Amino acid sequence: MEEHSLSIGANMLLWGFPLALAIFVVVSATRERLRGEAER
Amino acid sequence: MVLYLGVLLVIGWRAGQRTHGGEDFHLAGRSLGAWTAGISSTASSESGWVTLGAVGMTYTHGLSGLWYAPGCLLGYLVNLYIVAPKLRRMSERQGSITMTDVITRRWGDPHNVLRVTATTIILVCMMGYVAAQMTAAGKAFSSSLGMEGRSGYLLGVIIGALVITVVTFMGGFRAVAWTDLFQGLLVAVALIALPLYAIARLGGFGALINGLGDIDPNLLTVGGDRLGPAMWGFIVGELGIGLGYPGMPHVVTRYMATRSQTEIRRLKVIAMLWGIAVFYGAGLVGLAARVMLPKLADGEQALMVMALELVHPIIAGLLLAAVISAILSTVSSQLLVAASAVSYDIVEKCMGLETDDRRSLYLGRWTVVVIGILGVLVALTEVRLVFWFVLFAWSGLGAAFAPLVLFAAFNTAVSRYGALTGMLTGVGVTVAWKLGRTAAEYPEAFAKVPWAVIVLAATLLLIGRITSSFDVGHSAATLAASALTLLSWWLVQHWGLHHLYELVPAFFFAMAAIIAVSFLFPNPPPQPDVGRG
Repeated sequence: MEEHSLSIGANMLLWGFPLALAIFVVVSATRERLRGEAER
Repeated sequence: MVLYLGVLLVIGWRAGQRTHGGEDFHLAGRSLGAWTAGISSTASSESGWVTLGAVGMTYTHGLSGLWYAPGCLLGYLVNLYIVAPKLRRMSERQGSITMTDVITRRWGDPHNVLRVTATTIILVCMMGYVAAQMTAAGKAFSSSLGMEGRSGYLLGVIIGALVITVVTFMGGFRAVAWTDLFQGLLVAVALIALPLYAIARLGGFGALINGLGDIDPNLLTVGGDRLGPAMWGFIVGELGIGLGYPGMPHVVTRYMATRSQTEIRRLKVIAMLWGIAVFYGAGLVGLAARVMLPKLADGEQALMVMALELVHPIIAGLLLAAVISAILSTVSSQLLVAASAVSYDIVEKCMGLETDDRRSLYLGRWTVVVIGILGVLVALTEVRLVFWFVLFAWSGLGAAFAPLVLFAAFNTAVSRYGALTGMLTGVGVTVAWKLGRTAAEYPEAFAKVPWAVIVLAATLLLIGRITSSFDVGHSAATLAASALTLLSWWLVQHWGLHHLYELVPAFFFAMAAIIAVSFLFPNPPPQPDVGRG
């Protein structure tokens, strides 16, 4: 059986984008919460 | 299945006990928490399409079928980080209950031109959607309960429609939001667990990739078997699906119904993570199914077949409930939007029959029943015209309202005439472009577009004149929308852009129209108060 692999673009579409988005969401939510606590 | 339907009815009954008036019925009294509003907004927007259509996309096209995921998630990003906080604040300040309320109060609508236009577009699109979703629910119920043939389908439609109509009747927005939360969590669990199970059963991610590559190496590329303009048109079109999210009334009302800005901040995380899990989960199910079940005639059945053939019956039941959940969570939200459009926007606001809170509640409830019955009749008799509307529903609603909602969120100087032309242009270009893309399938309809535009424009101008509700700006807005629709009809034939999903040009045509007409025809200054004596 031939071994197949994904291109960089395919990896970005499948893993890179959702991972980057999840990190952005969690980091931005954490920053907002910390900012809110600091203001209090 | 009986247990699942029972849970929905109990949730509806409990919500009904807390529904005491019109604002409760249409907007849950602006009391939703982050989890309910967040999951309800996402589950409402993702219908059976995510468990059937999205799975089918990657089953058929491989990795290139996954482009819908970043498109939809970018739409979520705009909605959650830009639209949600601003719209919630604005609607509370205005006292708005529906998306139509927000638009008309933002830019002024003394003769209800915007309200009638918006409500007509919403009703036409939503009725088509409700009937189509009831059809899909009928088929899903009859399959999962093992009932074959026409009688199975009829029973499936009636069961699905009855449960959803009763739940929505009892508890209105609150019932719909709570059932969405239950159903949305079910969909998320199913679309996280099933791909993990399937990939493990294949022998890991490497085995999945090798299996796909052995079937066809194009399944592993971002463009699939498309090249050049066809590939870029496809990718841009899939990414463009996200443009529609700000214009979906059943989504943006969830933000308006949220308890506070703090809950808005919390719901962003919940909704985004749900979206990532569900969109990519559905895509991975399709990819795994292509290797495990390579000879399916219809890729959209992949999840159902995997459920029936590959897993334990109890898990299969859970997966089938997830498919039905995805459909019912959307149809209940759309049924409520359609009912609110009739009972609140038309009867109470346009016809001036504003009433007390209790009567508003009864009006809303019985409108749900009437529209539910209409939806069932259409689904049972399979009126082709209505299903035609579904072709344009998502892109029509998105192009008509998304630019306006974004302009409202950014507090941009738009006039009521610009708002009118935006709605008409969005719908017009959507229909013309869609028919242009599929001219071979609907040649007669495509050929009639110019005549239809002229007749409709003339009708609108005549009605506006007879009712004295149109001034020069409204007439100019109607003519501008007609001209842009005809231009798009010409462009789609001659510029080789027929690979492009219609929402993309419709959205940008609508934006340009709003800006141009607002500049040329600003709102008239408010009339001075001449005082008394």
